[in-house]
Amino acid sequence: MTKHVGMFASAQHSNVQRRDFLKLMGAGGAALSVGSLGWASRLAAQDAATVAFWATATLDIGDKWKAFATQNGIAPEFTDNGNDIGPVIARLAAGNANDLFDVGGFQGGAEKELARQGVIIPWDLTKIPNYEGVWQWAKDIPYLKQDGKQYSIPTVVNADSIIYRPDKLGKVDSYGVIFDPKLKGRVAMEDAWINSAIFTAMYLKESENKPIVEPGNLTESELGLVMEFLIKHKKDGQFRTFWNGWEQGVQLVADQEVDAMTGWEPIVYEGRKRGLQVEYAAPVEGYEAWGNNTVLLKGAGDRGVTDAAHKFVNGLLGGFYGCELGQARGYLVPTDNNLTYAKAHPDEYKPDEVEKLAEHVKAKFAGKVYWQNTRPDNFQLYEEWWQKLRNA
Amino acid sequence: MMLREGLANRILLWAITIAGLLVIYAPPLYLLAISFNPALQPGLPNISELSLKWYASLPQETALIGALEQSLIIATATAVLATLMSLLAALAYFELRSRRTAWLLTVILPMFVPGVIQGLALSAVFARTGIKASMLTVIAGHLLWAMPFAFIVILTSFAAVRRSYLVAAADLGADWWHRFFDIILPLIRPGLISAFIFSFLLSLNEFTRAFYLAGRQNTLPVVLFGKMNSGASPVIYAMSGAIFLISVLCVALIALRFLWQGRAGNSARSSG
Repeated sequence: MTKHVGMFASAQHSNVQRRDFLKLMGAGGAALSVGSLGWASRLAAQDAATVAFWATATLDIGDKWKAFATQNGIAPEFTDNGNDIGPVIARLAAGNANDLFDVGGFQGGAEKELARQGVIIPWDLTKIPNYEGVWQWAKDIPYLKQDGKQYSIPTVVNADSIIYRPDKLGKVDSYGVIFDPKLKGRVAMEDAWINSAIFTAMYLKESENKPIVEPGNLTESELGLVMEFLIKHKKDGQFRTFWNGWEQGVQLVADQEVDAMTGWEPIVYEGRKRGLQVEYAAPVEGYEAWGNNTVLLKGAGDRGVTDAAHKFVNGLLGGFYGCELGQARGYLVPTDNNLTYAKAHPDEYKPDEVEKLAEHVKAKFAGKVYWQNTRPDNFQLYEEWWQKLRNA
Repeated sequence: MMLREGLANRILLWAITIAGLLVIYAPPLYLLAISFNPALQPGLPNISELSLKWYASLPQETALIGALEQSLIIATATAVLATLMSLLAALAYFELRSRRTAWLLTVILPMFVPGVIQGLALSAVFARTGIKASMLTVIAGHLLWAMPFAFIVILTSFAAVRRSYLVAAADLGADWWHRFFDIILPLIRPGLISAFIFSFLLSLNEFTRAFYLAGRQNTLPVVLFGKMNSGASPVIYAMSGAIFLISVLCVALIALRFLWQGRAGNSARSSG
């Protein structure tokens, strides 16, 4: 009868089993560690001619990186960072991003916080000769420098405003159309404070003379003013909706649910493709400018690959990258080197197209612009207020 | 009157079933429809516009293919390890008596930790201990996520294992390995298969832990999220559509196999 209890009730046997189990777990953990460390040593011995580029997919040119490497002597290894600045900052500050990547690329505004935390280090502009060719207004983006040091390089820029139906509204040249009671229920804004708060602040500052200094970085009282204004209009039924994502933005215009809404310019082209009269406004209050900037990660300094990183960023401003990004995605690198390169390689890129894209974006920046800010000083208050707006 | 009540109930049941199926399948079917739209911007296509353009360009999408390969390798490794480790944990639970509740809670505890916290915390721990992010660190994170589920599934299948079977086998001279391989394993096999599939799918679709733990090669959900967040090319819908269609095909093949086995069994019985 001893066999009856031998297998599952014998304490001795049971302990042996548990020890075996723990041994197995230990062996697994050891294998995991050894495997990872082996990978680490390979990583540490990375080729000096490669740069790990961790950026938003906006900045990716896919297979064309090989041509970029041939031209610039630097082979970028691109990894998508998801384009969500919160997790990106978390991974830089507390996670493994600096162990893995050399150069970062994301929407502007977080540089101040990242520099304060010491997770990014300044660029040396003497090692980026192509920076000379960057247009002055792009060099003037407020987030690029902290304490006089150049922490960020503008890589892609553009500016947003209002999508509207001229057949319904005539010519629109003010964000006032979004808050016009006559258009109650026929307008929309994006469900994101990063764009909608600044649009509203620009309107209140420029057209209503409200005491707002910097629409992209509102103080506590300025933010309260802006958000109470938005909440009041929402409660009045002014907005058809707060749209979320490309598809909904397009549908609002294509289904003729709204006559005007703040949003991205490609929605205009999509509306036109569907046979609608749609225009993009040049508002008197100005455009909301946005940029994807490149930063030098602290890890690049620790690993001694800053020279390669500088060479890489110099390559981004060299013309080929701008031509490729413009042709493939319609994004603009703010330098005349794009046109110079296209003229030198007319079989690959159309110089007139490159020039047209440049002039189109330049025209927006000829007037007033306010820069989008992904990480304003009162960022947490922005989040709280936006939640209140959603619940209003 | 009873016939009418029966009919009304059937109609109600069918209506609820169809509504439930619509809720479940409408989103993937909508994405599938978008994937056949040749336009650059996503939207439902007209019937006359249907195109395989984005499917044809899938092989050139090396970043997506690389991410898919990475995800499949990680999911397979996670599923194998989670199933094996959960089996060991379930055997331990089966053996334990007074402390089995404590053991159960210990194993399923990671299930209650939010993914973002688990991912970031694990990433910080790995960074501080000198373990570089790689495929292995993602597998480690996914194991924490998938193992509790696999454990519960396997544990449920242990309901089929009666102690009397093991006692009888022991009486007849079967040693531990024989009892395990000849009695326990066949009885819990459905649970093991379910745990493997469950772990595989949990890992394949996992985003937050992979985001914080991945090395330079992202997994498919992370790449898809990034591409959608930055104005994606519609080829991501083709990738999603292809995965959906392959999944449906696999399920259909399994269903056909069971159908065929059922018919073969019926005909064998009738001829016997």
